[in-house]
Amino acid sequence: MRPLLLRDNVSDCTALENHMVTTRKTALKEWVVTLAPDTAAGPARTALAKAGLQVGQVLEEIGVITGRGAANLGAALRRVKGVTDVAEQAAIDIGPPDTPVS
Amino acid sequence: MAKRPNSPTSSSKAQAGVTSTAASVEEMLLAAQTRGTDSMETGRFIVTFKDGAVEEGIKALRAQSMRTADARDFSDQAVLMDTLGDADALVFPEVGAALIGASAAQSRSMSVASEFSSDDAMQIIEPEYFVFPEGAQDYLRGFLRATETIARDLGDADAAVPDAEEEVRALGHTWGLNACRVPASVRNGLGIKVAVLDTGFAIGHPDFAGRVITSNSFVGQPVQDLHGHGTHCIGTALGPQAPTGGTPRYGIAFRGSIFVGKVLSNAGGSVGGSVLAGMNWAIASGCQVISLSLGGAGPVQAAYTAAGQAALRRGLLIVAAAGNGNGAPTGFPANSPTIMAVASLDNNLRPSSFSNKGKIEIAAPGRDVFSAAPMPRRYATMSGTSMATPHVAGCAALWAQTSPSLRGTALWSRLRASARVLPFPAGQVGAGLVQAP
Repeated sequence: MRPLLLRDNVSDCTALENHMVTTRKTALKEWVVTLAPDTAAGPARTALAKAGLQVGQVLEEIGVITGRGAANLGAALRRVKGVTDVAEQAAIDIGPPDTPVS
Repeated sequence: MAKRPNSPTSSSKAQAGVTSTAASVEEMLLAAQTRGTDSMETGRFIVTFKDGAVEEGIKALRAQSMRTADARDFSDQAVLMDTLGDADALVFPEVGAALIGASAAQSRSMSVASEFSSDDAMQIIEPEYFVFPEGAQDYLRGFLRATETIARDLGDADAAVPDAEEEVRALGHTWGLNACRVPASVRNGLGIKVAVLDTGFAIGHPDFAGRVITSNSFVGQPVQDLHGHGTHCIGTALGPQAPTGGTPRYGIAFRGSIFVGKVLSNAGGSVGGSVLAGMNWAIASGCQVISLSLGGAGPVQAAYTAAGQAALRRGLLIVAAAGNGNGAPTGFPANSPTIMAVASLDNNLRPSSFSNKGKIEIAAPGRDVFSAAPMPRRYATMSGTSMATPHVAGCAALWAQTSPSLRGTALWSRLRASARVLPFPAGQVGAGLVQAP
């Protein structure tokens, strides 16, 4: 049975490659913004969005706001009032089921 | 020439149901768990053909109006399982067998009781079973090692000598519970909320019948644990006093309130800020003990430190696994100054070879730990600082129950002050082996 996904057409390959290059140039990062204790989350959220962050989660209890933004957005986010730290999201992986040591 | 299967549409797949040839392992496991039985059967059947009778067997299946798919239709006979659509049977000609969907078999009165005559192409019908990498023998490993340890300790004047009563109790519990002196404790965690942020929980597990469980998923998948890690950790921290079937006790705070935060997917990975979101939820829910058997190699992350700080300010305590980098520096989130890092010990109370070092607050049993697993498996034995961490969480819940003042930093201090001192550097075992009140 011939798989349906591969394309033999050369012009289709070029279009796909162009699309991938464009996506890479505008690749967004996952940002994690930490606020100083007792910073009001609402105003901070507004200011971060204004600075260019596509706000994802506003975690009020712990004073953290996550979101997506341009790869070079870090400096602008750090300048927002109440922000004490800006970092990229660090993935966590414990491995698949039955990993020998976890 | 074998018949080509119909191309699948979303409606035909829905009709095919959860025990069709096209069902995914995940779908079948979910269905088996909600059935809640001990059975390892998937619901489907395997028909074995007599030697050299594959083509006749296929004809026989078609004669019963079964839509058959054939591995020979695929390149290198590598079947793409999700293209099977509504095929009733999938033939493996090299093996001389066929997989039959549950409803296809039922509607034709095929079962394991079916008998075949000598000129039938089919030889036997058997149930299809789930298989897992670890065998049923592994749960004995933890207990056998416990008896070895006791025998060795009785001959060693320097080690703590268990009296006869303790020895009997030891064999009725995991070695880890024994080492933490849990069996002798009068506490059970009643009134204390313990959050375990992990791969979810095996809701419906017979050992947890009647327990109140509050759960939330942060990964876009149901809380039902298809990985196993989360269930194992919850078992250690909060498992029952008397597990079903006379199984020895493996859990600590057996009356603690269970809060399940699914922050890792069934494949074991975080999804976006799922871990932070889970911590936020556990803190908002007022969980006095929050257990994280997860992490990554790398420096302190400010967001986790902020979470730990928020927890302590509210009188809540976060404990996390130091990591399994074979002596590498403690990873995040355990390396945050506001989170307790837990190292792992072997059953001879030596630091486990895989356990990270450096910033360590306390140590607990983490080698060959027997605990709960999703059904139908029911139990499993696992190793890691992931297994040590819920020992601390469970003991923390028992301590928290002893006094309303033992919260947050006070609870942190009490756990360390009451730990059993071990002859190893603090960078490996912190204050020592955690002890129950």
